[in-house]
Amino acid sequence: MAVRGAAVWPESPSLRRDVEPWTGHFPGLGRIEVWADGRHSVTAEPDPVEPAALRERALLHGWAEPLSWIRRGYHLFWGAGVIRSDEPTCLLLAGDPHDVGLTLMELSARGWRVLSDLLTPVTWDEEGLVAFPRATPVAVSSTRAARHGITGTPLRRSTDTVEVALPMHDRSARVGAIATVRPRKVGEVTLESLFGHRRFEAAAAYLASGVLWPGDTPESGPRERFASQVRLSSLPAARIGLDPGDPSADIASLVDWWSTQAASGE
Amino acid sequence: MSARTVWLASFPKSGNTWVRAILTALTTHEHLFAVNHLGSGSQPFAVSGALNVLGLDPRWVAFDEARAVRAALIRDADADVEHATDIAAPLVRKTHERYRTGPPGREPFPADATRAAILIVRDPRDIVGSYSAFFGDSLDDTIGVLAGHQSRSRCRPSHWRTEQPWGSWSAHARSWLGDDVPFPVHLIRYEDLLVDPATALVPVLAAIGMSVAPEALDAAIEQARFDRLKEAEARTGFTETSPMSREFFRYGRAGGWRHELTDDQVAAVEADHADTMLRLGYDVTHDEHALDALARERTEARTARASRWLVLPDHLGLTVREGVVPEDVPGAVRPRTWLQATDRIAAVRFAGGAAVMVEDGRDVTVQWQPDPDQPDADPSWLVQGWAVTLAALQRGNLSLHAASMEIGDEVVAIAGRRGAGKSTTAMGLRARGHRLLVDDVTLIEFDDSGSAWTTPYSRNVHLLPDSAAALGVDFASLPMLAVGRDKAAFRPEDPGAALRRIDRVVVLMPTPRATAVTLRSVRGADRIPALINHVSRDGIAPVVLGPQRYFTALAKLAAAAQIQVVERPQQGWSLDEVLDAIEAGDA
Repeated sequence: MAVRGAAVWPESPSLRRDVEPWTGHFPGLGRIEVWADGRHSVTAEPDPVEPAALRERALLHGWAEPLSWIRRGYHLFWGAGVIRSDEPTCLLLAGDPHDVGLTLMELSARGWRVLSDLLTPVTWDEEGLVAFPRATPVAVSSTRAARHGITGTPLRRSTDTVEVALPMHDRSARVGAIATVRPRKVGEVTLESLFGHRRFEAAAAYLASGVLWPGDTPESGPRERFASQVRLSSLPAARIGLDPGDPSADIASLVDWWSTQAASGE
Repeated sequence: MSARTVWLASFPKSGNTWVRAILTALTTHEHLFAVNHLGSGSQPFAVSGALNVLGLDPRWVAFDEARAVRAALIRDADADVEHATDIAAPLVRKTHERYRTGPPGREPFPADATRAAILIVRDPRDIVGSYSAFFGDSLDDTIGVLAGHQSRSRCRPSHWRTEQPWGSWSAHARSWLGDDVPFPVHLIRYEDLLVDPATALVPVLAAIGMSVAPEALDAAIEQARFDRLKEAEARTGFTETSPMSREFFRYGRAGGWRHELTDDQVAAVEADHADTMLRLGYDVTHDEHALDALARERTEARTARASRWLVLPDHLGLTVREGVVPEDVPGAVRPRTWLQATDRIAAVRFAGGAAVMVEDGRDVTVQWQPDPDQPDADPSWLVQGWAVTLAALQRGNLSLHAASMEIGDEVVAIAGRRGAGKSTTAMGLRARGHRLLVDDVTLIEFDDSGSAWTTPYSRNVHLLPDSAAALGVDFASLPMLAVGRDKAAFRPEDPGAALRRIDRVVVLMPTPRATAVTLRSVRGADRIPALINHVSRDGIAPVVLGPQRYFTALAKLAAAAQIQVVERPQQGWSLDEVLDAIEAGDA
């Protein structure tokens, strides 16, 4: 579909990819434009209460900037990128934003830095997968931030999402491994290394799709997705179950697992 | 093109997943059927699809915008025939939400994108045990959930979700079966599915446009047999199991409540839901009169718990009761469509049917019905704000739209238009150790010497997320205000009742031409204009007080206290700069 969203409904947000530049319109919030070379612009609609700067940031970080990576041919990994000081490779954290956010805050407290919050740009080169930094703020729920003793800054006047100031890493890095984080269920182990078909299955959910797949066309879809899934499944992978109430031990297990991956250089 | 979406609606733990398993088995080769790959599981409250459909990260949208995203995603999914193998086949989607309508572009269940709904109901007495095991709640707490006491329903952009209101078990069923639902709704009872699933399903599937050969349906039912699903879960796990439960597929039977619930618990469920149970063909086991008495008792207990918000401090001298506020007050003038006033009575009406009436500066009537989708929402602002303001005006006093603080030896009222940052500034000063006397409503009376005095009173502070952050309070943990206001209620410490003289009024004024935060004094003829917007209370004050008393009081206030203005630019300013200026106080 070249036109996504309820484009026939004037009250609904929509994205047009059948025009150049791509044009997004969110009635009441504003518009975005994203060109093929990645340039992008945002225009916030006025609001009597909310400052324009907040609305422009939302349009930029939440909409235009992710699309600009796609237009330049990058894939977007569905998760965050983190790196431990002085190491050459980074770890990608797949999962829902509230679980990934918790992990980011825990790792930051242990000296790690963040390449990217949600949606990490990645490309393949001859040696493997490379992740790129984004200047987008780390956004978590206010509840999560409060539990970590962090007073975040609300992204909008009317939301429960806050921006938290975590140490950022501003250079690209080769990807060493991928960990999927999610709440641990009764009876589950904390950490499960994935091999073989389990890795392949997990890899199916790693990359953002739809309009966030570069060159999204009916012809290119299935074969390219399969190839990407195969390439991603070559990376070491693990599934981490978190106890949201007290994730310390779970995060320690993740760090230990990462250390063995980094040391073995699989 | 006609709509494809069919909502598979049910209160939680009513057999929705089992029906989804049968539908998946109908459209999946038997060797590819897997319990962890059931279709139709994408629920409408989850708006993460905005990333795939629009490239938009829903964490960056505001509450109301998230509802617009939801409606857009539903319409997009319904219209997306490029990925459909059969464009005439229904697009079945699960939901546990109660049916409700919404404004254009924010409809929770857009009628134009809906072909029909299938409502699955189950005996609420059986739901109690299943729900309790799944969510880890006690049986008694679960009975409360079914009665609508607890809502897991908050709009949370941070979690990529809008509200997911269930309502009570009765309200849920009635909502989908109501005459105002604009599309066909087909009812299935879980117990009938257990007895003969094919007979229960055939007419419903035909009605939604699924033509199924009998042998294919039989095969799908066999594939999705309960014991096979249970065995598959034991072997591979089930992704939809809650973190609080070891298993999703427990017993798959009817009548287990006879062993799981005590007689008192059964009576409570039947008292809460007898009418709807009987309507849906579930017999009750207790005497009708006993159930009526128990229902009244439980309703009175709930009302008593919910009525805490009606209580005001004694020293305000107001009597508050719930009741009906008349649509037309005899002899009243109507300077606004929502305001009526006589010399004794003032009444204000709000969106959603809420209303407040005050008589003789003393007797308050509040009309309000709890929203079943937000049973914990806080309506106290009707009483703590509006009723107190109207009563003050009827007594000949003023109500300044301001928070009041003790800063050192001074009492400072912080006024400003909506959105100027009064609550955020007050919370910032409180975080610096200054004492909050009251938020939003500073009552003002004058003594014989012309000094302005305020009576503090204990009330909730209404916080936006940025104000909560400044306070160091988790916004998401606070009760939301009732009647659709996206603010939360925070109760600070009681300020006591002692009258305090107002020394300064500081007006917060965002100023486009300002380049820095500055504090300046207002003198002479400029004092009244600086105050007028903050004492008129949306034009109510001159109506209730009368023009002469109003302007006399306004002039008294202008003369009684030092008036200052804090100007700040639209951007490039910090809260600390504003707080520093107010603390310093020297303009």
